[in-house]
Amino acid sequence: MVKVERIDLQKEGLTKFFSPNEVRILEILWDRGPMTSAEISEELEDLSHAVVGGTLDRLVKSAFVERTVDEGGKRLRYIYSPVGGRDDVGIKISERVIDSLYETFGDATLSALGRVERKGGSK
Amino acid sequence: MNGLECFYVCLVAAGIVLPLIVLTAVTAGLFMAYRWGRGVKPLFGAQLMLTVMISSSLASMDCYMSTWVWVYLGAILGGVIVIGLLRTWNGSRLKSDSLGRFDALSDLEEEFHVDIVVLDAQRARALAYKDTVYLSVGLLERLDDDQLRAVVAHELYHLETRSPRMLSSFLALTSLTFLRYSDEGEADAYAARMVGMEAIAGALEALRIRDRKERAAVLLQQA
Repeated sequence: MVKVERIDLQKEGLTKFFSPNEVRILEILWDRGPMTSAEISEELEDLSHAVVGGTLDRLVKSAFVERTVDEGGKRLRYIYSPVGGRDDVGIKISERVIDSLYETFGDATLSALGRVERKGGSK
Repeated sequence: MNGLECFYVCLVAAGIVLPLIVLTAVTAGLFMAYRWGRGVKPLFGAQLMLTVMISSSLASMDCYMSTWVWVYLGAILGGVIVIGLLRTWNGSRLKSDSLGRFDALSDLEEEFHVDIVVLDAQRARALAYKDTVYLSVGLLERLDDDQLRAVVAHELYHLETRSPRMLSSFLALTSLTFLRYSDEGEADAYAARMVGMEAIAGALEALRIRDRKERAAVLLQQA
């Protein structure tokens, strides 16, 4: 969900910001593009439909994944796609974290960011 | 001092304020357990706790017995009002979760003479509220035609019997009557009659309803 207060820097990779199931679904959507929930569930055999469904609902609510209703078939179904790629997620999360840091530390945050930028530039 | 203040002083003098708070919490917990579908035993437990509360206060207090009647009636009225507000709130949330009606479901609507509104959720949800059956997209994805018809029939039963379940359970609790609202089972039986037992049992299984095994067993017994 990426709530700033829930971020756990001890964890690995994207699980710092998302639950493990959310990361697995995001990775699948980034790799394979628009999919139905049945197709996503096929990739996640160890998870029940209820868990996959709940996770998808949360990802849509937090706007990292979007869905459209497909009326083409006999029934309705959702088609899921990621909102932006990995970089976009990186930007979105960074903005949220930096906003929170700036709110707390003010200009100190900016000078720290300046240092990060210089380090990045010398790479 | 007015009547209620006297009543409170009398409660304190009898030394039962804390026990009453604990018992109220236990009663509420048991009642919620019943509402979350843990069988009828928690309801009986809650009613037993209520009886203990009332009788022990009557036995230990020396004054203002009649105030108990007013306090109790006030609690019932308050509960009914809170449940009514919750219902209204749930209704407005339902509206904001709705995607509206779809042509793909018009055959079903005609067959059962009911409006079907689609809920915007991948989680499987089916519910009946004010003349309308609500089904989530996730539910539609996971059921075959007969299973879906059975779910609609099940919800239709709720609409036709119009039983506000929270309210009827609350009144059963506070009136100490052992009227139990087991309408899930009755709605299943209705769906089995309208569509078929395999269809409703299959739907319970496909949706992984928590008490699906018990409910299917009850259906089998009735058949």
